[in-house]
Amino acid sequence: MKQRFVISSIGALIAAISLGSTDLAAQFGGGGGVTPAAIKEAQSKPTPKRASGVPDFTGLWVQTRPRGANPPAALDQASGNFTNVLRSRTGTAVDFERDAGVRQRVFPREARPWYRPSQWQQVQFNDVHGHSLQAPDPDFLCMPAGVPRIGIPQEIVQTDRQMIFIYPLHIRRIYIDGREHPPEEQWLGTWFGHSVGRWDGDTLVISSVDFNGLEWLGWPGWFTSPDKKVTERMRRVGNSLTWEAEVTDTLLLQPWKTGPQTRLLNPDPMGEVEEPLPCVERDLQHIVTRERG
Amino acid sequence: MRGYAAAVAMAVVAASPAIDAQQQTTTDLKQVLFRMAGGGGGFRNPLGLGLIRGNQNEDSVLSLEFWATGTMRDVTGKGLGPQIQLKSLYGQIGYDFPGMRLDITRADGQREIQVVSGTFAWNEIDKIGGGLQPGWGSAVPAMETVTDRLLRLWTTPIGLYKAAATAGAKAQVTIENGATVLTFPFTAGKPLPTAYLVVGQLEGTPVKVTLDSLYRPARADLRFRNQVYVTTYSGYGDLNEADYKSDVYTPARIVQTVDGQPVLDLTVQKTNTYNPYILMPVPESVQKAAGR
Repeated sequence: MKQRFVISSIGALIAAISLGSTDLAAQFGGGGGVTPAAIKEAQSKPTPKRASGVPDFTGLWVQTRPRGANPPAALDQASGNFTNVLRSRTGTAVDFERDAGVRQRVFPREARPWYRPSQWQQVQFNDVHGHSLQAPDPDFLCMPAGVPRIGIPQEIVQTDRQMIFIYPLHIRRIYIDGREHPPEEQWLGTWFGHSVGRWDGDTLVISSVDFNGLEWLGWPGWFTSPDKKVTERMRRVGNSLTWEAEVTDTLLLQPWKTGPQTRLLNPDPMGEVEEPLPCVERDLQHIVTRERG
Repeated sequence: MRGYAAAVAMAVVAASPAIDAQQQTTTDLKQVLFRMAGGGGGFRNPLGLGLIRGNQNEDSVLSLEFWATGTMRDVTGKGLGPQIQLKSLYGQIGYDFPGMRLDITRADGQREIQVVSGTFAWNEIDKIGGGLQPGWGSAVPAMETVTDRLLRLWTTPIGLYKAAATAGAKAQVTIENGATVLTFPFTAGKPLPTAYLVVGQLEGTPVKVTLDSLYRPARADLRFRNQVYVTTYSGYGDLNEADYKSDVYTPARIVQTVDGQPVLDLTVQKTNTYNPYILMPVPESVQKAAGR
């Protein structure tokens, strides 16, 4: 329970942080922040190309630490506060839950999906009850985050036929061999949908359909329907990878855009991504308030 | 402006003063704004409005909902409307776009939904969000009410803080009868992601805010259109439901008079201050009617 709680909280914090122009989440616990200077330096490198002439996205797009090394200390021994993880007004755990609950909902109007008015009450209900049995956030139930919520992959393996996006506990396949989406009558309704990619110059444009409508766009109750369509754009410049996405859905008044996020290539040729802990939901039945950080 | 607001937070964090909640002596604008926003406070030490969060001490509250009862009357340039006894009032405030929606149900059952969003005002008919989607209510422009509705928005306690922060160096602090008094002109601007001051004809209108012992607005005085507005706030607390507390502090009672005539007397029953999802896009029909 506690382990799951902390992981969930950190994940939620990271989700909030990652709304910025760079994806600090990628650096969490690893290699320092992605500064504009670091991005500029990474972009000054040559962009590797495949024999066909398209950019090669293959690589680790997350920072790693040497095998056996410890993550940054969460506890500040001097103050006794969890300053490094439980970020709050006072640095104490007692203020963390409510601070995070407020801060993770700081979405300026332009950054929120604009639902149709007929859906506003449902969004509000999901938001308030997202960590209860009444409207549980699927991510909290250990379900896949879906697209685009899952964001930039940790690692990409590219062939001429497909790209494999590797995330903690999940993978996606992006077909880049020119195939189309299957006809709607053959759709299965899945968490990550059916994804095909095409090149627009050096930018990979990914179209995804065939979702199950169970995934949320984000933490504060942003639900979706099986009508959701997602267009992601990814561009590698040197050793940087920038991602952004646009969502259309019959629930929305207008397309919703998220990103851009930028990550840097892991420079360590021996870098290894640690196996994540399995996600096992044990909390929901024990949560007695609707506060959540 | 944005840098100024950030500096307010950071400079005072660095100073890390002992908070003299009972003995208000400082006239340092940055410290007063910081305390008003809740800086230096926490779950164990409620102070100010509780807007500041995270270890960067940033104002993090951009929207809220409230439920209230009481009486109100419309104020316009043409005078005061009739007093309305409220059966219920559901309000939404977004300080970032900015906008306010009041879903008013009168004692006789009549319903009126008033909205102001930026420099547009309209009434929604039948449903919240009326006029934005086919078959979902409708919208009637009410552009003549923009300034009066914006005045209501920026004279909420959190609105006063954001307005003062936006005024920046134009704000002044004095001590009067032992209480901290903040004086500033309404000034358009966007100093923070959580504050976007659209003030319309209120631009330049001076406001005097008297703070209580915990640096929360107790009274606001202003003169607009040669009318004297006095608003008092009392009974501050975290009015969210018992299992949904956030440490954001709002008044349980708000009373406003214009030239001594009561125009608002609200008892707030409940709030949701966890930045709830609220949206006030301007319906196309309202934009067209406004010629924009």
